[in-house]
Amino acid sequence: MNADELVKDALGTVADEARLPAGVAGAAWRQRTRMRIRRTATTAAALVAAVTVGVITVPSLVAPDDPQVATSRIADGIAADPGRATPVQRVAAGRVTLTAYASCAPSTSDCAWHVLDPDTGRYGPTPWGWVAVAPGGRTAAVLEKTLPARRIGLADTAGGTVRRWIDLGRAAAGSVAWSPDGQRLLVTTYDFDPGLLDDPGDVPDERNSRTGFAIVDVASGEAAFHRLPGGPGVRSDLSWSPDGSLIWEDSGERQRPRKYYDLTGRTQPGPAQESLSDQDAGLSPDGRLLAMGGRSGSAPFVADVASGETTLLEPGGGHPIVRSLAWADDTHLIAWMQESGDSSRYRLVLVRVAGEQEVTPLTGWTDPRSTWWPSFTSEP
Amino acid sequence: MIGDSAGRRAFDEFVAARSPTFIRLAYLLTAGDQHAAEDLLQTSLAKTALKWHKIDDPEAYLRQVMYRQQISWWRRRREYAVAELPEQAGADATYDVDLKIVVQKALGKLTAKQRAVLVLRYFEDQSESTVAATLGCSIGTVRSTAHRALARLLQLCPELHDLYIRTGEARHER
Repeated sequence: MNADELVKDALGTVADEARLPAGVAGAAWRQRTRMRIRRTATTAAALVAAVTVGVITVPSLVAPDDPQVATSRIADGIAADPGRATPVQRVAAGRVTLTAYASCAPSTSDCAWHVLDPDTGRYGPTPWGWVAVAPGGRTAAVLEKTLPARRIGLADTAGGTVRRWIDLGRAAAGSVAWSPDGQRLLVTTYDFDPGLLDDPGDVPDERNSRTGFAIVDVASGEAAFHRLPGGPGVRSDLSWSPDGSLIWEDSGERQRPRKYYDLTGRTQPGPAQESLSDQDAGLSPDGRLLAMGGRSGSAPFVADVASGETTLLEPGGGHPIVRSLAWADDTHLIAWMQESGDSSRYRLVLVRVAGEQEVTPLTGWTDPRSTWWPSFTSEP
Repeated sequence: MIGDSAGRRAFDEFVAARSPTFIRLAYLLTAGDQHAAEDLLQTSLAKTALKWHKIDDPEAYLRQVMYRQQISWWRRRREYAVAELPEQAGADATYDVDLKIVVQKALGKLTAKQRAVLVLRYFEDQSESTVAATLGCSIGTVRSTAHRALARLLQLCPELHDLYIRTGEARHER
């Protein structure tokens, strides 16, 4: 053994301790799915009663060829459009409304945003490059088509007219999110277009696309910028914590899936339970259940915060739940369901996580040739 | 919304065949942190899966993603959470166990880039040009980093240093 082989041998003895986790291919494939759909832009908002189309009785949602579908009903009603690959009519469940979505062609990565008109209850196309609907559902923060954008528009969701522009000066916005109280905007800034579907190149991109963020006071239009570079080559939008006191990003790490910062960009510990969630839904409104999941090949699950008891989201019927997106109420999750047989078709569903798991489709199965990803608005 | 998954079967076969090797690399790159190694492997595989239909050599792509991802994570955290290790084994423990523990501790004290170069050059036996291409740096940087990384490793591992010197001397005497 020569000297170099000695070093190799020493490293090899350390490497021998590594253990291959079970189900890594499935877990990686689900993470790939998560990367593609990106984090849904969930904002806390009060739903306007007048906008509610009304409770749709559940039997009308149950397709006869969907044996896994059971009845489900939650307090504030359900609005669904289960017959179409891309929603046309309002989709909502409980505290959450699908207020906008981006429809994209994977082959070109070209995306078109659609927004819910609160007067007609239908989604219509917009010319924007990013849309986030504010509390109340009548105002959208929009970015112009070419990202990153130098100004934010405040547009009327009924008709689409821009009522006001907020100039960002030297900063360039790649995403916008409303604070839970609807008074501020969290703007994630980038130095080049981060894309919506995935990184544009065929090789890993070393550039740190995200430059930082800005907190914008909507009433005054004043913006405070803070430097917070992101990882290389990918969109890494920042999100509000539920109480609006902190912001966070997806760290991609198992032990600390969410990394929290204060509103000046200083690292903070983050909420004890919420920070453990690697799912968009996070903690239930009553703080009792935590949406978790997908690691090591398992299905997403919910954990009881008090007891630690976990419940896999496996409603049966052969269509797996792949990602928990938002809590409709304390016991119902909005999630992506994948069609059985390793299909590339998905649909939004409402899942009751308490007792026997029941599923209600909210949208139809997606068309594999096109993609769309949702932006929700939810009441506090 | 999510896109096609026509290559899923091929991806599964690739992962089944190669992940035993790559978890070892991930384990070394994370200085023996099993959880961090699993995160690194899974995230790197997910990024490879994103490009599955476009890449000609998934193994080379995965290797490149994994090394660069680890360096990127380390940069963002600015510190590395070294896994808790037991104290050095007692006098009756085997020499191999002692050496393994010392080397693992030493890896945790290197920078992520030093670890990456060390693993690529000495564990994977990659050429300097291949290491440079994988990490996206110059051959000169690879050479200097490898030199510093090895010197630091030997400084932190006296047992390995003694063996290294003796082996080197033996080689020169032949």
